[in-house]
Amino acid sequence: MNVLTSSTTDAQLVAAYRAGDTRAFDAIHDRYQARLERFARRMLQANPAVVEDVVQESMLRASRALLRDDRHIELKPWLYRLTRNCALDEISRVRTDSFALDDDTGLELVGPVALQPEDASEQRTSVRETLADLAALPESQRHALVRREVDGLSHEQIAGELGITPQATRSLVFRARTSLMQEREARTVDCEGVRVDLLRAHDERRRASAASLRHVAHCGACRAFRRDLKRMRHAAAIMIPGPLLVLGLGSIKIGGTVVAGKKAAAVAGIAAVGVAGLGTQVFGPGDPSPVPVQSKAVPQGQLAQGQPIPAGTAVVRQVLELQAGALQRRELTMTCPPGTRVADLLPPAGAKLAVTYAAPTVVGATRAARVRFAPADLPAPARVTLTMLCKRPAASGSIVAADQRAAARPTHRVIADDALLRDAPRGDAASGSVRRGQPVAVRARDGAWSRVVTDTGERGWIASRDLAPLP
Amino acid sequence: MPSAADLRRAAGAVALAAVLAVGGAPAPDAGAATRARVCVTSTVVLDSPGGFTVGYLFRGDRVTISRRSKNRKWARVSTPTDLRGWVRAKNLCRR
Repeated sequence: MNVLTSSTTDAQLVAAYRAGDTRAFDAIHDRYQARLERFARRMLQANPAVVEDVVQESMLRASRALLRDDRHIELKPWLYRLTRNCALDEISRVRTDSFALDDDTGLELVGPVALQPEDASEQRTSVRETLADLAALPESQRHALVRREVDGLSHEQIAGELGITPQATRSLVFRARTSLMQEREARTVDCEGVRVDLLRAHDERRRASAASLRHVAHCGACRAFRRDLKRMRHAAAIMIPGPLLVLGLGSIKIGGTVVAGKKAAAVAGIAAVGVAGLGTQVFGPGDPSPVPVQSKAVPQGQLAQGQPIPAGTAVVRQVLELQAGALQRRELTMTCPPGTRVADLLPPAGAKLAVTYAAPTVVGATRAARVRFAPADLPAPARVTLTMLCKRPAASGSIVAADQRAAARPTHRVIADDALLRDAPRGDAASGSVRRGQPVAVRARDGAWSRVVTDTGERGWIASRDLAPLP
Repeated sequence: MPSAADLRRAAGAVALAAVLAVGGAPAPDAGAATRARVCVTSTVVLDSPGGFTVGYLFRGDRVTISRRSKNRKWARVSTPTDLRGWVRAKNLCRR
């Protein structure tokens, strides 16, 4: 063809290009570039560079494909399909590069219906997620699904394109739809449940369930959680002497130590107890606190969630899955890292079940805490996350943070398990208690009674026989 | 036939009596134990009023009060888990 005008049809341009007139393809490019870019922009982030690249890529593919054979091509829909595939490839590539899919940038949603901002935002997110899921499908599945759902082709037509049987295309479409639904479901799964599964899988040295892994692929926080688990195992394997690593017969214990506030030495431990899928996490100094903490054991009496855990302090978390019916397992033991002692029981999360420390746990004195639930009858399976604060005692034995500690210099420690702080010597009224090992400053004596100030600043009278001088 | 105002006053008196029965009753500082239940969403159990948290109780959980602090703000209780600790008295109601 010698003259290419705006009235030249697509079929004529294709024929001219196939006949060797390269200007014909320039004309195709000029005719469709802007339209294809608008189309691509709907699918991709509003990034002109990416949109242009995608359209250029589709044009490149078109120029090669047109010369491959002389079969009839409906140019316009064919170019749109090529552009769509290139856009999906681009989304897939970005996804493979671990691009955050939950960022704020969204697709431009175009359509005749004016949506409310929140609806539009939700729909943009949904479209973006669907496209990302679509892009992640194996190529044959993606092709079959898109051709079936979007282009409306029959299974026979798709089979012809892919060179497989119609039955095989049905299978591809079915698998693609199933994958998309599973991906969507994975996004809505509760993070806590996924993390329990990750912890269990990590502990049992197996792969987590496919559903959990699908969720991890979408959830940045859970991805970070899984990464931390892996990192922890590597770090622990380096630090822990060999024999400890073979302790794990139902209970793997990789202990971290909380010494001198060094993060490297305070790596978390993982412990698993065989019953009901219990998993334990230990957060050491420098780790972000997993929960807000209010305790006299931490400076200023509180620690916000995410704040670095102070030196000499650790947070131990244990997730429990409880079966419906009468609570079978009512006690468990949580252990503080070496060098630290049990401090506060932090607010439990999940089912509202009465839970307390139980004997022989002594705050500030024992390293292990026995935690006990009250008898309960659960109408349905429940999950509870228990969290305990651990603290390295000072030379006096106090686990109270220096800035929270009473000014009085301790002179004695309590040697009774649980003694009342009485309001008067020989009196029966009491306004507090002291526990074994708690340091106190003796201020006065009255016969067999001593007036004391505890390290928490409480005052009262205690039998002198319940006190021993500090060394 | 009592008027609506009389009924309201009577109801108020009953409510006041209920409150006094828990917070203001002549509960002994020591000696006879009284039973109570938690009447707030949740409450902490402390090893001592100025000390560390040793447990959590939830609405409806039952405790046995063995004594109260001098200022009557705190109750020394035995929990359903057999732990002894201190709970804010205002968070407890008579069973």
